[in-house]
Amino acid sequence: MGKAIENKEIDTLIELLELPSATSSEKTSTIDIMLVEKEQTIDVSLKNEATEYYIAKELFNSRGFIDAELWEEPVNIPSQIIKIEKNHVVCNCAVDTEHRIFQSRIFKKKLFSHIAKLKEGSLVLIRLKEKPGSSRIDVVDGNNNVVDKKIFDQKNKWDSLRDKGLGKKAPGRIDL
Amino acid sequence: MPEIFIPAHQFEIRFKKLVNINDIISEKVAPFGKLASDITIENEGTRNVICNLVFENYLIHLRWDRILIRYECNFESFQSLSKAGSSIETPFLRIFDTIKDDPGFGEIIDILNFSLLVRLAGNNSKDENKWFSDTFLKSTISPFANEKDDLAITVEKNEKGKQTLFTFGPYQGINDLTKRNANPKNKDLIKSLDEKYGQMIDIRINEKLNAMSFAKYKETNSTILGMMEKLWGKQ
Repeated sequence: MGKAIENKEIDTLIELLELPSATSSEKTSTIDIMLVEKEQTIDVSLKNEATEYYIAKELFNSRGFIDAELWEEPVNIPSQIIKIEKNHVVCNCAVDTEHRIFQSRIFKKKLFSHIAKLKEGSLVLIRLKEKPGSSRIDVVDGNNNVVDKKIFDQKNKWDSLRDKGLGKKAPGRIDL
Repeated sequence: MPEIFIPAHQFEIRFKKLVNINDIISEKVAPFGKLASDITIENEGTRNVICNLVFENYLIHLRWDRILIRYECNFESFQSLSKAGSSIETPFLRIFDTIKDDPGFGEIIDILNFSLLVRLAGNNSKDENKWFSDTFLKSTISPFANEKDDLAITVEKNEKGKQTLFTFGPYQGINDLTKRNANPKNKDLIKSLDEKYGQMIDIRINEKLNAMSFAKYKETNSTILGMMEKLWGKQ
């Protein structure tokens, strides 16, 4: 967890983080601050008990601390990965399993980086949530029956019959 | 247009008792835990085990003889439950399908769709009661129903393998919900319904079934919406 920082470094840090300046008497005691800067986590231990509450309060106010989000009813789309590219993943999404409607959609690869053994054919559940002013995509590992594999097995079987000449008219009468 | 809320919507699938329910929870239901915001298990290791998967807007409840999903929502969310990709399909029916695939699964017995709909009005309690008794009760009966009484009309319909119970009456605050075993937890919903007045519909559809599908769920919800529209008009 963090490291002890000397007074000179505290001043530099406060300046970098645009925090209000601490007085010399406030630079002697200890606080821990966990800062989240975009996707980076900076763990810093400062020696400053007196301003602990003030700095934490300012941080939360400036960053907008969200206690609980109320999303509208989510849309859950069972999907199968069909192609993994350098920065994107292409998924076959079952947007309507009842009427067997599928769509190919492309997502950023980062959304799948938490899934172990990501490969073509893997099943995922894409969860789309919305509320006024915001939308959210969650990608959940669909293995272990979370996504029904049979949805895609049937489609794959139909796809395998493509270009097999089944649409051609029979040459003549077939006697069975 | 008056607002409509659904303080309770419960869809239940009942089946023959599962002796290996504890194994089913740990093997087949466990993978869905990552979708839930919380999981609680009571009486673990016994046949009375209860597994609750808690999500943002709903709860999935599993016992050895039933699985149910319970919602508290507004009318728009209620309508979206019948759309493709709703939480009824995934994870509720998906969990049920994995349970059904277990060799120990016997058969489905029946389903229950219980929905409580509340339409708020601008009138106060006295006006709602008076309007209700003047509209639906004959002059010989309405004098018995004064402004402080609880009024409702229940219609029961029995068809082959299907029973529908339709109750409607004035809504006079949160106590009316408690009487019908609906105790909403959502703070915004409670705030919208507390000390407000209007009309309430309690619909229960119980149907014997051999197979369950999303289409069946949509059919029962469509019946409920049809009944609501006959009373309150198209929303």
